[in-house]
Amino acid sequence: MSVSGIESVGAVSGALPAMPTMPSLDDVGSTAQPSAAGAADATGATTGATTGAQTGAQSASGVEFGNLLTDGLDRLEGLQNTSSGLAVQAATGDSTSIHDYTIAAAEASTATQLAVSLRNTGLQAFNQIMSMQV
Amino acid sequence: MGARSEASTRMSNAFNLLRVADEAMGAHQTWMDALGDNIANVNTYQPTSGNAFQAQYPIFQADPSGGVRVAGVAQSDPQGREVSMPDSPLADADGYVRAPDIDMSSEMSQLIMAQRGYEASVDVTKTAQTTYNAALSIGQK
Repeated sequence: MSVSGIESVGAVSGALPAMPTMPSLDDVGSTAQPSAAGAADATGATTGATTGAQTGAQSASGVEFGNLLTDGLDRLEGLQNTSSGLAVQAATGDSTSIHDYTIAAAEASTATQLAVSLRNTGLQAFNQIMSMQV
Repeated sequence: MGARSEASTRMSNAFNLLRVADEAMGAHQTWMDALGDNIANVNTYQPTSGNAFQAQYPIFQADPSGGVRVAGVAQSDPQGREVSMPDSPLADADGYVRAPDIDMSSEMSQLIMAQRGYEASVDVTKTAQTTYNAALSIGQK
């Protein structure tokens, strides 16, 4: 992801320093094991879920966590498209090498998990703020 | 600081390790394909008037952005070896044909090297995935 792992995690930890445990959210991250076929669904779900957190983060402060996520999701979609294309090639016998597909699938899977993990973290922060006593 | 800037270009992507291993697998697969072709043609004879079958050996080169690529393919001597096979329909007036210049034991050794190289790259991808998954578990409950 153009999120490029390190920067995004840095941005998240910078924006949200300490995170005490909260009543558990629906934990999409632990169950997400996207296959090439199910990849598109995962993207759709993640995009929909992040929209709320995105607008909240932008209006609250200058930290553009939402933009970071959007860029990452665009890049993720590219990875998943590559993986899907190679899967079709493998199925139709046009594939020149097995590992091209398996590597692309692994990369797309890991990137999706990273995106879901970021989305969970963002949503967790949002919920914590919403449940703050005033 | 040349080494430092080179190192930074090598780590431009979060999943660089996977990409490097992908290239390594591709290179070793090319090598294995070529060796299979060489071994398949070890008994391919030609008349002495023409060239012998030329064995193919891919030449690897380091990719500046990390990884390896096949820079070209070297071919064995087109002269091959002239062997006496008077019964062959391809034999010339003196009873000679042109056999490819292929050392079978060398081909088999290289086949093992190529296979082990490929398997090592597969292990690299496994390590990469384990590592990335470990990083993803940071902060999880």
